[in-house]
Amino acid sequence: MKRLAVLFVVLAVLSACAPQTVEKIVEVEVEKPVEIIKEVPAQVKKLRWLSEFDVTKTAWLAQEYRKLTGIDIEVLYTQAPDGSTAEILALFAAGQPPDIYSAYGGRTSQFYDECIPLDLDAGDYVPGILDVCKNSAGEVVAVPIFYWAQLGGLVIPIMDKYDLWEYVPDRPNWTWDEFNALVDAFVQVRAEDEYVTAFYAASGSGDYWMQMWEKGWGAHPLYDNGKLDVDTPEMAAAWQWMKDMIAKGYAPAGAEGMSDQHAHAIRADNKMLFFGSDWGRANMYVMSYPSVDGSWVPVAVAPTNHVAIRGLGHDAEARAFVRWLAEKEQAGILVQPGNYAARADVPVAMPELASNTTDAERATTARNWNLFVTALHDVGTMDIGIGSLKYQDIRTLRAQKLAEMFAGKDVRQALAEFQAEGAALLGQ
Amino acid sequence: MRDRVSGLILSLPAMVLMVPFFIAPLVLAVIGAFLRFDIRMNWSWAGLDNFRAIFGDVGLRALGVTLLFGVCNVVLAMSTSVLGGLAVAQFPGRWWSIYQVAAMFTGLNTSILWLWMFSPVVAGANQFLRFVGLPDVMWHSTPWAARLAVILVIWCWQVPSGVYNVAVAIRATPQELLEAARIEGATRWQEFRYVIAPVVRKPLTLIVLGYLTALLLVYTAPVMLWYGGPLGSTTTALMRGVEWAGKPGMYGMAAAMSLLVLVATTPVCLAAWRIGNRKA
Repeated sequence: MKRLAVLFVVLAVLSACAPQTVEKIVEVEVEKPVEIIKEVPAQVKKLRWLSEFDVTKTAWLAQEYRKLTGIDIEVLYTQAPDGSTAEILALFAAGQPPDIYSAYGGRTSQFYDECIPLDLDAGDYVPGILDVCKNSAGEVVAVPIFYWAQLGGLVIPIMDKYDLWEYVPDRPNWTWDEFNALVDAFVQVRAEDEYVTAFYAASGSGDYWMQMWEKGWGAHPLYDNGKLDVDTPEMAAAWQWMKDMIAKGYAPAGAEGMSDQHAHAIRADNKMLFFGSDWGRANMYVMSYPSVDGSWVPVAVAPTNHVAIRGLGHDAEARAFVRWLAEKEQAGILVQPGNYAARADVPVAMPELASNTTDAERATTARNWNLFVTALHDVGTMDIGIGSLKYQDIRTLRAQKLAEMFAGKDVRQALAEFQAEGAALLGQ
Repeated sequence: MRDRVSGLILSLPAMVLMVPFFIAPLVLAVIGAFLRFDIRMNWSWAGLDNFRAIFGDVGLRALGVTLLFGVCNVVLAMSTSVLGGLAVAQFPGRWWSIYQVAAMFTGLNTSILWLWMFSPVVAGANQFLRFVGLPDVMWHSTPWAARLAVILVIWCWQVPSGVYNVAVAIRATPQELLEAARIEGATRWQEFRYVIAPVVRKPLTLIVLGYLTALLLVYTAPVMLWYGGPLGSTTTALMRGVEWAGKPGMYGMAAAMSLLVLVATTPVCLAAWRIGNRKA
């Protein structure tokens, strides 16, 4: 009896350790026939796919592809809090990179030069988005699926506390005059430790928040026709304005040392009027921001995408799979609610946010304070992403120059250094 | 001979773990420090390029910051542990449990408290300074203040366990030796210097080694408080190494940094062992 019990325990442990197949995770029937990819040779039986996408959807797609082509897709899910960077680096280091890598563009872009070129039709996508999916040779190597926009908003308790709602225009696209009227009213009545907003350059997403203000000053924050172009009069005006906001005591001093969590803490204490940034409306729900009157800012960031790693012995098959993932049906499945779809023909995943702004309102002047979203898919007027290759390096450099500017460096000097060092980094 | 063989056999399991988790990474770091890697870890000879890059760039500053935190940490924690241990040893053992609990409760458990203490707008530390009539300090954006905050946090995290260990060691001092010293007319200082200190030397050495390990691992506090800022003034060598190791093609730099940290701390560790093994 005792032996039987031991045997039972051993079998239970062994069965628990057995690898779980994709088929076990999800069993979803095909709803409609999809055209079979005929270009895939029959001898390739397995591709490996490292994915940050939703587990269930990824498994379903892998299952569908196997039904269509007979090719097994081994899905490597990532659970790391920092995304999949450590895992993909470890896989590369082990000489076993995945055939397909799907992740936030800031991560995949580090590997664009290791990826297989794809011939995507730019007409299928929102304008400009393929520009941030190119390798250093200018070839499109990534299939964009969706992208985020940054969130900015009014902190409701402080608006209520001082009854400032009369200063809020009942439409998007405020003008600077409207913005200043609200600020003036607020600073007349605020307490000493309350601020209009906070700038934060020490870490995280502060640069996105400041990018939004730069756009309000008419600057294109980083690129002009693919070339780094930051040392402009508009950027200088925006940076000087931020510096002046601190000098006037409208924003907390020491922005060079302020991080995301510092800014979040100030917002959580309801000690600032405007708050941002964040990763979109979905995050606002998830992270429970009841006190923020959510609004969208037209600063999209690197699209989450698929890439196929080259040189693993089956480039054609990996490319075919990524091309299949790029099709409307598959792309639509992976768009996360609360984000913008990269394909122009994929329905918006947040219809409740569809803008009702008119064309006239959209045609804002450079000085219009462009806090609120103009229109979904109005990406052509935005700086989508802040580049592709060396995306994170440019972000780091940008944060460093902002911090130096906040710490006292002359605005024009900081921008000139940003331009020179950034261009060198990008080989421009 | 027989004892040696049995000792070797008994230590084999530990040795088995040492090879893959300590010796192999060490060897890889030593070799990798002189190589250049591409994204697929194809390597080429780099000579001293990685070290030149470290000494010519932010790496040197990170080494300096690590040294600052390490030295301050060891001196502060050691001195207060000894003083605290001497004081606490006078009380019954059950009172020491507060230090045990404190030692368990440090680290990230107290992170919220520390974040509030040095927060930009509502800094608890500034409220105290105002209370005693001193001006506010911009903890988050003044380099010396940010570093001081890190040193304070590390010190507070380490000192409870230090006090507890020293108190336990002092209590282990044979009472007859102390009584003999008192009969001979020894002062309290002489009691400590000639009776207690030789007894607690080894435990103290272990504490020093623990603190030196912390020196190698100065990471959590500066990341938690400032992400290494402002402007890199609290970025340590380990933080820089981790950052480089996480970037494609920068493994060689990370390996070189880890080798430098190892080279810098090994003599200190050896010295600590030597002192600990010296006869009273």
